[in-house]
Amino acid sequence: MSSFPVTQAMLDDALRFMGVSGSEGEETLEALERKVSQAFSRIEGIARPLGVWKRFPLDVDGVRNLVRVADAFDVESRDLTRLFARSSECFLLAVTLGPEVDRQISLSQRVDMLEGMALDACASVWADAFCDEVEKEARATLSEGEHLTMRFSPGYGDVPLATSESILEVLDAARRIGLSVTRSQMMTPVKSITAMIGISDQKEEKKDRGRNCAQCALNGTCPYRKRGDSCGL
Amino acid sequence: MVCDKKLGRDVIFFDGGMGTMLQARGLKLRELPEQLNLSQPDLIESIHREYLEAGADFVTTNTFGANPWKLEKAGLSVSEVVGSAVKIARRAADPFGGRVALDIGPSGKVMAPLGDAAFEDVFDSVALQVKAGAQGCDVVLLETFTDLYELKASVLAVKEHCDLPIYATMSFEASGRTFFGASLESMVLTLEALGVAALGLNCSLGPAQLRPLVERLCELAHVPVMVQPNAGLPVMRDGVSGYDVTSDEFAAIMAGFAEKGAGVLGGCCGTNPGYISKTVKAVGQRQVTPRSVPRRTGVCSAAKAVFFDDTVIIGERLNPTGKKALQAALRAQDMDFLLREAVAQQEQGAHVLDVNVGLPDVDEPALLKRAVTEIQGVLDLPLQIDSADPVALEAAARIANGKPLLNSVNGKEESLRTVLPIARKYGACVLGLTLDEGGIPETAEGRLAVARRIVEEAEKLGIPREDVLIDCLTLTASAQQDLVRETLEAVRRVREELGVRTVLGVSNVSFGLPRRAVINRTMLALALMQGLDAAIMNPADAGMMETVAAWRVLSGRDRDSQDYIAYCEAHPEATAAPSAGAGGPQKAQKAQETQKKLSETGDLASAVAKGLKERAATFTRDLLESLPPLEVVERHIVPALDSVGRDYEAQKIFLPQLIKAAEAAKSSFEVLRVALASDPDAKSGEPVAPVALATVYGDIHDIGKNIVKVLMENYNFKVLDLGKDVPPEAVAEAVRQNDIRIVGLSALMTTTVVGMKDTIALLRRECPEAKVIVGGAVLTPDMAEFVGADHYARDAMETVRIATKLATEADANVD
Repeated sequence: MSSFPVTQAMLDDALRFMGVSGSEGEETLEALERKVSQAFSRIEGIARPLGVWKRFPLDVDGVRNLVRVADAFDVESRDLTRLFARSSECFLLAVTLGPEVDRQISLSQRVDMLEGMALDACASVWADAFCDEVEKEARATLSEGEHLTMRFSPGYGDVPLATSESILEVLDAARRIGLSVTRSQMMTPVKSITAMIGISDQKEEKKDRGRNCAQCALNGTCPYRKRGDSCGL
Repeated sequence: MVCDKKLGRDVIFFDGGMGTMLQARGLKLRELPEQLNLSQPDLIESIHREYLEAGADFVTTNTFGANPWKLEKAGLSVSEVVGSAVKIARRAADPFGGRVALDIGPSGKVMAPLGDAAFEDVFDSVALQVKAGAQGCDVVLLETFTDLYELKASVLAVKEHCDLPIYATMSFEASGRTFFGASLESMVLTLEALGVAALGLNCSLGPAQLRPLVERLCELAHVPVMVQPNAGLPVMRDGVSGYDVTSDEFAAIMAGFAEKGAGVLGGCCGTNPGYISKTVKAVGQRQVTPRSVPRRTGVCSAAKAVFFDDTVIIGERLNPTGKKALQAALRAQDMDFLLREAVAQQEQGAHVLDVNVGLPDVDEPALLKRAVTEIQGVLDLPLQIDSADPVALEAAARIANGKPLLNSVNGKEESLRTVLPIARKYGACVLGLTLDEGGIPETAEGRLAVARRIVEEAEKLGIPREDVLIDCLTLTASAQQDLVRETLEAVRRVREELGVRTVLGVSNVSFGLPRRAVINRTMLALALMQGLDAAIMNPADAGMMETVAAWRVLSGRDRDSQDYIAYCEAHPEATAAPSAGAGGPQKAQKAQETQKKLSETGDLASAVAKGLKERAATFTRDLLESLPPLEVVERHIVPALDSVGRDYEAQKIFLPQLIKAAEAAKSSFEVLRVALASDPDAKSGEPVAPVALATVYGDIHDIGKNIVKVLMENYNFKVLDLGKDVPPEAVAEAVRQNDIRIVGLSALMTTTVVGMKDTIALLRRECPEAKVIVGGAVLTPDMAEFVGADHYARDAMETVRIATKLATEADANVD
């Protein structure tokens, strides 16, 4: 389920997450790339990726900027209201790489910090790539004439982080994939993603599909933006 | 009608899913099933009744999620919900002569260090549920756990708050592991030692997928095996989710489980009274199929079980006796040093790690507990908890995951009385030393007698014989030559006459003799021949490791010599040396050449700048031959770090290179620390200023804090790492106790910045002298002002610069 090749884009993302700028000498870059490749192999070996997804009804109240999900919880968000304007259903999904990845990252940070940084970066990239796979799985169940909006996670734009907890609850994720949140709404295991994807009757314009910095909640605090870069997502 | 069924003798039937039944009756998503105990008691009672009519002997109270965390959100109280649920179940069960199990599921929280639930939080939560419901129930069912650590905390909470039998089940994946990595072997070792009445599997999979696991479990468990599968795997049918196994298929497979020896059968998600009724019919009223399971000595972490059927290597290096660097690390609470030493021993081939932190001037119970927590948080090796202080042993045994080995008890009245109950209560193996009030008996006969007494006393308390291991104690050949034979003879007789496993720390034998390694490995070989099962030794000692490897070939344990051959391939240098005579000088010459080559390729400063760890350590050792440690730091390391730091700030290099250089400097500092520790005049080597670092309460993302720590240690700050998710009170207390003036706080998420604000507010009140630097992904200068920090640091390097400035100012004020 979790077997997919490590692409150059994934390598580049991981290097960027580590703070590599690209202007290091060729020798240094090659060494770092090797390090990251090895880190990906290690993550592949220890990750036990699990995902759940399910289709739910969606009610969008454009006036109050309120999205009611699965008849179970509300999210107040201008971004979601806009994104889901033409959706009456959505997929909720949650993925995790499992606790062993967290453990190994934590251990390596205390034994060899560079290794710890590489593992941390690769695990984030891996979780995102795995989430793409799970999204494909959900996409394959669409009927003709149904299209997906972009994938939106709590923390993007104005969607509160606390939305994760509601998504996990309706997906029964603690029981089904061992994923839950702390008292301050952080996911444990840490290398996990929750997301919402609208099911719309209209194919999305290409330009809306990319996630951009203006939409991002980290806008202003993002370490990449601080030095004039972007995370690339 | 059913009251006379006996666990272990008769097959007992439990009920099936409760959630499934409630959903069928219109329970909404996110609605708490437990709330219905108050709002619709009749509905719950009718479901219990349906299961009883279907033939269930036990009904399970509707309290799976009735823990304070979940109920609090709905504004409900545990005692009310659980109390009501028990009354309902009782009301339903009594007319049938049925029995009631108090249901307790996992908390839904992840335990520290991965998550934010402490051992005692879980313990308290379960205790609350037991206090509310035990009276009126016949057993406590702990079900669907995936974290063995949480299950252990829960079992202890039940044991400490009622006398009911405990049935405990875990949910496994088809891989044979739980989400949290627990194995069947570890589950059985841990739960049986904790004294549960029945154990088994439930949920997560259908009966067909569980079959191989049930069969394996029936070969491992001595107590009755319980199985409650789902009604297959989840499927969507016409837009409705359901499960893919029919009640007939379910019942047929369950009947197979009964044949294999399972003693308690029921259902989980997707099952209804139809499934139970078919199962009861298919299995019939029958006795449990007898199983014969050998009794084996084993210890485990959650993920790894080690059985003493094969030779076990217990790594001895986490013991400060005679180790200056470890002593210094323990006094400084430098847990990273401990972890690196633990990892090294694992890589060198240790199967179990001895953990001893006994120093005269430390709070041993607290430190031992911390060391065990840290090691088991990231490593899978089972632990041997080593202390002469029963209070420390108990503190650590309580929070140890899995089944540890306690080192040690001995034949003294006082020791037997204090240590054995700890092993019994917390489900541990115990190592018995053959000495008593009269000292170490000289003869094998005498030591056997002490060993016998220890085994008997343990058995009287209910500790099975296989959980007692005996150390016949090695004496020094140079002082008491004739007693070496007595030790060996005692090992043989303890194995043969008591039938328990033996452990020996052999290296004492060579004390006072030249070339101790030769004596040690020969003693080890002799002891193994007498039946020794485990050696407490240094896994870095190649001679002893090779003796064990060879022994395993010669004694037939290493089939087809596979491990031995693999070992030789992994260690070609040892294999290649033909003999000491021919290889010795050549080797030395080669080493010299290597050394020369190394020196030609640069110096310590460039090794640090390039981030070459091993080379940095080698150069440091070389330099120490001609320079005092402090000069090595000032003339070589400091300039290198300064130039790396400047390059980073000028964006000539980036974070990975900065960290690589820091790691290289760290390996150099480790060499220096040993030199400083053995140099009585090195007072001025004291670090410049103590700094406390913490990732704030509520936040479990600590990579930023860890990066800062690596750098600060390089700049000679004495870093007290308080960890992640640290409550404000803990920060303030550490700062006050250690008279710390510089505090670094990190937070990653918007949701945890409030934790930072609270911490700073408390520090202002209690430690007004402390200056606070903040950083982290979510922080900006504005945010730093909002939380009330003294300084905002953009990145790790800036934190070091600010802290250096603060430390210098503080020094100037003092002067």
